Amino acid sequence: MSEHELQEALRHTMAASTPPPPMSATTALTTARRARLYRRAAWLSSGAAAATVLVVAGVVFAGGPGFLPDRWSPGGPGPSVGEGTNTERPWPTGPDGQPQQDRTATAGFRYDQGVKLYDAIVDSLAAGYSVSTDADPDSLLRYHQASFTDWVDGAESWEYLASVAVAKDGKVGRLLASVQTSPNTLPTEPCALALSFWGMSGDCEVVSVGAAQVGVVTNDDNRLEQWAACRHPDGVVVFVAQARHVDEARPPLTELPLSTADLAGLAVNDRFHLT
Amino acid sequence: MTDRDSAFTEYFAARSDAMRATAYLLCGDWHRAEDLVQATFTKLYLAWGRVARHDVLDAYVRKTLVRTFLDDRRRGWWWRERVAESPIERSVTDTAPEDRLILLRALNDVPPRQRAVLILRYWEDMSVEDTAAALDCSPGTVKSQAARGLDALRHVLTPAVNAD
Repeated sequence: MSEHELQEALRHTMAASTPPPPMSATTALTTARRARLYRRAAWLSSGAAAATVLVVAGVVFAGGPGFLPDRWSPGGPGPSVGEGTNTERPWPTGPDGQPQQDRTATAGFRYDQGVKLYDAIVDSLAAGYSVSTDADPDSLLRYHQASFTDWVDGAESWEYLASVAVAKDGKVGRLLASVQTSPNTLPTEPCALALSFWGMSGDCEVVSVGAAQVGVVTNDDNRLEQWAACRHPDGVVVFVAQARHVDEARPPLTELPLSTADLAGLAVNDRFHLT
Repeated sequence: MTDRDSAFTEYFAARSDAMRATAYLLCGDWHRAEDLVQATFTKLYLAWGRVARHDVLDAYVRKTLVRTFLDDRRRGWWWRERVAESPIERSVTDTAPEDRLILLRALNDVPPRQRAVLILRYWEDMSVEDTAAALDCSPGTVKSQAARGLDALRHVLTPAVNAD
């Protein structure tokens, strides 16, 4: 889907949609005014609380009953809507010592881990395959990313993602790897873990690679036709995926770039095991 | 009614439908879209004295709307509400819902921040720079998020198109 196609699709979608009746401006105003009153009440009750502390400290308090208007209840919680109520946790700290502006790391250790993952994929290409050079370097066909996933048990959990278009004989497929750092909330059983990847389904088998158990899913979905998942002993999860098809503009590979055993091997490979 | 209330009411009547459409594309649900719009306009009302210049109102409201959407997602509201696989839409009837639902479901599979970029860029027709300002990020991030969002959409939609 191109930018233009998305624009057209969005307009078509909204044109075909029948929205509910217009929202009531009176209701909106009433709700907004109520929020404003609550906020004022919260300010005043904060002032009352501070004054109470002064009384306990023995300072003369000139306030008293009637300090607040009758309809305002001091000390009660205000609504969540309004300024100054944003209690969200900041993004993780970036390499400049400041909170990141969004999930994606643009420099520093996390960013470098994404680069390492990309390099690991490129170096894992089988003989006869190469990185497709006609792919836009800024597109998903050649990219890497390190993005903050969530706080898990008070610790940062990150995902490193890298993808590369793989070419052979003028045909182009795809290799992709995703690493979820520890701690994370992903399943532990190999096939449950593998089937958690991007919500896709398929037939799963467990492949042994040394002492490791790797879940390998195969399906007929040309987004990603096969992927392997491994949870390392330290909790790091590695997904490595492949597809013969990359987009409509390029002819698909005649076969998957990697064998099942090789794909499972990459999921266990130390180069993909990124913390 | 005070001047502030009159101006607010007038602005709400003029712009709430457009903002609700944007909210609908962000969250895929008319009811939730109306909640987002209400929360957004409430914040606008509280900040009215600072932002009541009409040349900045739209930008302020759009920015607040998107941030409210993203904040709700980060706080987990959306996921708690969706545990029962709630439909993308449930309040209206349409003549040809299939294509529309396919796109809305596909958008729902795009990460929220990428989705916000797609909606601001390709529905609101905002420039890269304005989108970056609305999301408090760099133009480069907007470009990369848009590319990733489009790619994610492409991957989600491909099987659906093929199935047809």
